[in-house]
Amino acid sequence: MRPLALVCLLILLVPAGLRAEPRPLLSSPYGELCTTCEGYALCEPDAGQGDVQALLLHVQSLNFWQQVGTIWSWLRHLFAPVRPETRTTVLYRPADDGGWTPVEETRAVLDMGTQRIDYPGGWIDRRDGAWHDTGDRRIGHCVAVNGRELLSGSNE
Amino acid sequence: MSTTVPLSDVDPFRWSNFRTQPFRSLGRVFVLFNRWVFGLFYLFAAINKFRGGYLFTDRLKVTLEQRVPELDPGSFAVTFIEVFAVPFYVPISWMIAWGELAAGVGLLLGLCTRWAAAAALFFIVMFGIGGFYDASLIVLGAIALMFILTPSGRWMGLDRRLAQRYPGNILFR
Repeated sequence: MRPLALVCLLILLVPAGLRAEPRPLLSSPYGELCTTCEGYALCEPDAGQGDVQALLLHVQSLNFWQQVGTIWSWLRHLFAPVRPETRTTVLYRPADDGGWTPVEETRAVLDMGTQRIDYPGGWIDRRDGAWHDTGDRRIGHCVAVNGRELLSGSNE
Repeated sequence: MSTTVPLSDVDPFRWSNFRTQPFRSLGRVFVLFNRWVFGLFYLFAAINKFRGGYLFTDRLKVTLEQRVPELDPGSFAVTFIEVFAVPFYVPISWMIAWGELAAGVGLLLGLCTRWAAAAALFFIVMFGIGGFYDASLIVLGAIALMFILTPSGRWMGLDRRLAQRYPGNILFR
């Protein structure tokens, strides 16, 4: 019976292991965030990065024409690698009152190929959340958060 | 023994007609090209469903349950998902996978074209109602409507032959 029990245990554990594979930061089970979805990533500096301020990225949903353009993107991805997606992104910094204040509206490039989120001030590795500056120096770590809760009460 | 009757109401698409009726022919090429692209779109969507295990797993249910937190809790889409789509996810999964395959094949071959387009439009509307609305659905819906309103399967497709064999049959109009 022992080999059978071992097989049963493997059958139970293997799918669990597959399910446990982490999803890239700010993505959906099918790839990038859905076209009407928005995502938030909270980036906090590593210990010893005294001059680096925390950052909250608010990656916004696609606009009307970008949503229409996903028809072509979907057809194209059947024959070619998925191209990076550019989304409007608002950057927030910690405010004096403990909340968050918007500092810049910019464009972030979300790429499932390179597993990066690039914004003008740096980039995030979507696999492990490592936060880098423009010189590729690791400065902290990012996680997906419920940004609406975080921003409620802040000076948006 | 089967008999065929000539279709007098709809003339077939011919490249030679470009010389005598350039705008009409151009319009037909536009519709037919879109029909093939749209058919491919649905065919690959169906293949993705089959490959993604829609028929024999709870993939659709998981997808729907993951979608709910992203939606306005008071919206109709949330009620639709929780009251209808999740409890009946098995028949819905089958209907989507086989329905998309039928729509794709029908549009590609010009077989029951208007019905295939109606099925495609039905899925588009249901996706929109079910919380997966985005602007691309408006465009896809308009394209599907184009194939419902035009006899493109009779211009080029199996509908023409079948309508000759079964005159008056509404499947091949």
